Amino acid sequence: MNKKILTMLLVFSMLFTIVLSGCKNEGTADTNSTTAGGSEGAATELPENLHAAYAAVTTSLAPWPIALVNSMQKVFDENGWTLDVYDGEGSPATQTEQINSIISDGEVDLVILFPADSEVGVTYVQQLNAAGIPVITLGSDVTGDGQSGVVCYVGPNQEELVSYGANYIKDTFGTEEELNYVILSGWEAQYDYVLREAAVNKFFEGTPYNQLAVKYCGASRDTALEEMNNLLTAHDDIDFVFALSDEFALGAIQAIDQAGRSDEITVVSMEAFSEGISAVEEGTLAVTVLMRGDKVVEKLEEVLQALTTGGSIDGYEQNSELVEITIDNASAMKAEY
Amino acid sequence: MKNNKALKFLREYNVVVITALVFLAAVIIASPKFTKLSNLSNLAMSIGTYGILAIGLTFVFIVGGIDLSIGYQVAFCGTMLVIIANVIGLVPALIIVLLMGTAIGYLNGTIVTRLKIPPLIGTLAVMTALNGLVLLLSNNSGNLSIKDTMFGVSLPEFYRFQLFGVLSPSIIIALVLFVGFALFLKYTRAGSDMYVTGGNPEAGAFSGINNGRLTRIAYSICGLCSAICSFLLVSSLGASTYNMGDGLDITAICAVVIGGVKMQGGKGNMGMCLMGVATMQIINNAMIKMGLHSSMQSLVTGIVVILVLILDKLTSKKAVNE
Amino acid sequence: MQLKATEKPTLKERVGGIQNFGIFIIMLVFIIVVVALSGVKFFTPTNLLNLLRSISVTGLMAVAATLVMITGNIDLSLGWMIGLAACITGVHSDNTVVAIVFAVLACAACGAFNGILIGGLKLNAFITTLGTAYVFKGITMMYSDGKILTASVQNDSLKFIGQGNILGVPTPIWIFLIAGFIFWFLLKSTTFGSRIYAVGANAVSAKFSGVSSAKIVMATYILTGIVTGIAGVVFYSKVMSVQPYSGAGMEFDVLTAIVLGGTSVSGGKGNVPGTIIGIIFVGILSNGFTLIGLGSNAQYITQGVILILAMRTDVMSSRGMRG
Repeated sequence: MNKKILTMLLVFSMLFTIVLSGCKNEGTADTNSTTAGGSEGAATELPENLHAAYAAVTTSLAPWPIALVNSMQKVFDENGWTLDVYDGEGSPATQTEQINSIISDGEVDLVILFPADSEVGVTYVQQLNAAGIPVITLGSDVTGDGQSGVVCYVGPNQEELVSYGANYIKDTFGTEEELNYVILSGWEAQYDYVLREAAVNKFFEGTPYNQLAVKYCGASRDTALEEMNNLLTAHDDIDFVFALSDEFALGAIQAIDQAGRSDEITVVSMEAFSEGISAVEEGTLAVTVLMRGDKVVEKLEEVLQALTTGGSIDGYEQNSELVEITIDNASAMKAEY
Repeated sequence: MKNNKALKFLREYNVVVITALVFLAAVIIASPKFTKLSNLSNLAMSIGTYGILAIGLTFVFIVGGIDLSIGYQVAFCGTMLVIIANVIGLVPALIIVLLMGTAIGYLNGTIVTRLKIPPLIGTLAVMTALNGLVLLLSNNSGNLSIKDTMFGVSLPEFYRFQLFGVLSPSIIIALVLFVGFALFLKYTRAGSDMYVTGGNPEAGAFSGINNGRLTRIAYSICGLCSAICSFLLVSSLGASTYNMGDGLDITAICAVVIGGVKMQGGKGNMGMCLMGVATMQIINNAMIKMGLHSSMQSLVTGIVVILVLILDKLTSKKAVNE
Repeated sequence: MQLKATEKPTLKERVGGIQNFGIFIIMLVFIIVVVALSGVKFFTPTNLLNLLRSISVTGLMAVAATLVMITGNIDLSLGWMIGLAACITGVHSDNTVVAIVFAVLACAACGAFNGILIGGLKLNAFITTLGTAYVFKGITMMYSDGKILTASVQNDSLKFIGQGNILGVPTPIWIFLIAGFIFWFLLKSTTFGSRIYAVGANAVSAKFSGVSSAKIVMATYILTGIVTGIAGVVFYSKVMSVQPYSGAGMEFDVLTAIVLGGTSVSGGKGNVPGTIIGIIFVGILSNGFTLIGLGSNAQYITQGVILILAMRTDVMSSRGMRG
């Protein structure tokens, strides 16, 4: 019996090695070309009856992507363009299959990419460029290496998003006192949250502020509530909460309110959904930052209109407008919103 | 007489029939996008990658167990592969990760056989622990992309290389494993003993079969397959992500069961496994081609699983009544 | 395993003193470690109430699903059932009664669907509920359009369910305890209860004594559905907002709690008090780790190890390697 197994193993490891060594590269894929989309995005031309695919990490798992996709459908309809939407369900594996599918179909002129993972996104960009399809990243960018293959990035600047809350804290409390704070973040290792966390750390470098904990709440207000409850019990001396999305801020505020510590703890956040703005109006939330999906898509529309009429765009970073919301302008913004 | 034969044929080969029908349906409904060569090669790539995972799981099912941790095994092995490869190169990293995967599988087997914890809970616990490890590793490791080359091309290009238009490394490796393991199950003592371990362990123990050892081997093979699958998945992505294993366990379980491998143990073979994977991947692919919304896709997948279960129940019931 | 299909399980087996022994020890050790590292904060009323409230939703599902597991089955579609219920509540957040009725009915229907397939057609519960989970996922996502559902109007009665207090104890905890009591009583003191044990112990011999296992199994799934519907309403009203995806994965917490509580995966053994202890344990793990200050990475890893330890020290009869 042992001999049989050994022979089997031998035979199939031989086969394995032959197969692997036999795979030489004369592959059908070209080596990375940067033809479709240069580094300044200047020379890409798109047809007037644009047919684009939107490959998003998600179109439903959080309010921000939902706002994005709804605005995009509207804008595309208004301009007479066609949009195919692909919901990656938060999974790089799913998104990869969708990208493969897009390439295989060969029907679209442009891919708008909201990558599930910024490293993996680089691979998509390379594959798409090799197939001659230009890429615009939206909402979250791919990492450095991939950016040379992308026409432009349309979306909020994550650092800027964080800066408003950070500056509010520094202005209100000064940078002399030692303060304790916690961060409520979203998905661990999701690129936008990673950038935001890094930004918080960067802005608070050199201050005596003390980061007690970082808690990950997925996309759920309920989880934020539970985490905040636990944090409140564990620490008597929290001074402020830096929430990386209004969704978490709202959960945290509820917990703080229930514990009766609203006077002691300041909450700042970003992303500005209507409930968030209401909270600022009521005074329970100190700062949030408007990063509305529709504004991002407005920017995208500008870019696309330029590219489909033979024009050009100025620069790689097409940042959408961010508006800080504090108690002073909350009511006004609410009305507009 | 005729009825008997037809029914017998259906019962034994129902999964092949199902696969063929599904493929035909996909061709009819989703052409021409579905029948494009580039799409068929995409299909082959995913059958290969996910098929390898299913192959490992089939062994576990045959000995009567279950493994819920395969998704996180893949994520863990993939993350380790990238981290180690960036330090000492791809080939040594690959060898280490293959060994690691096998070791995790062996751990699962030990928990089930030596600690006598039910596989459902035992592998659930390992899954939770691996989840924590993957988060820990991916948070503290910064750049998780893999820059190595294989035979002179970047890994994503290696993954997508096509021989004769449809054969890519993942399907080739899958077929090699499939043939090798099929031979193992059919022609070796250990292979046929595994069926006894799953189907009738008490009888097995009486005839001197070492159930524990065979079970541990089965789980180890499963771990090894997870490691191989993680290599292919990392190649396809060009990086590892902390959630690259999400949903893989459920997909693999559904695929294997659709193919006709029984969860109680003692029945099933590589052919069934492959057919099951092929069916599920064809359905998935066709649904993407048809542009179905993801909620609809979930619904269809669920209904397919249930229909197959019902079909299986009906065809075997009839046979019992004859 | 004795075939005592018609006899009521003995008091010992029912109350499960010996079965839960291992869990008690591990829990005690863990609590000691937590208290040692974080002071007496663990025992403050606020913390304990937070703890109980955080496990109320999964606890509700767990006490009902205990019945399913005692019959030797399992329900992996819970996560999407509760998602559906919470979304229904969200859509009808302006009318509490409509919300509750609709959510409960919908989930009862889901439960009935499971019951027909598993009880009636005798399909394998594990894989069937994986399939029905997909179906419920599709339905939930279609129903909610994938959107987050937030209450647009003030609905105090609904809010009270998730956020109110009765006699100083949060409402969800009351709901959980009441459900726990009902199911404990059902299992322990009614014919229905003993029939559930009978079916779990040996379906064939139960049949010979006139117990229809199909009907019993159907009933357990429908009950689970009803309770999950209620759990969904509570889940939504805790923050008056929900995402369709929020329930995914809860079935594993439920499964863990039930098994830790002494219910055997192959059926025939188990009880509700055990499950309650199990779910409290799951809550303590999460709560304790935050008090100590460990991140979620460490929490997951330790959770896995502790699960194994707890199962190991449990005096569980080995049923070979079958899951």
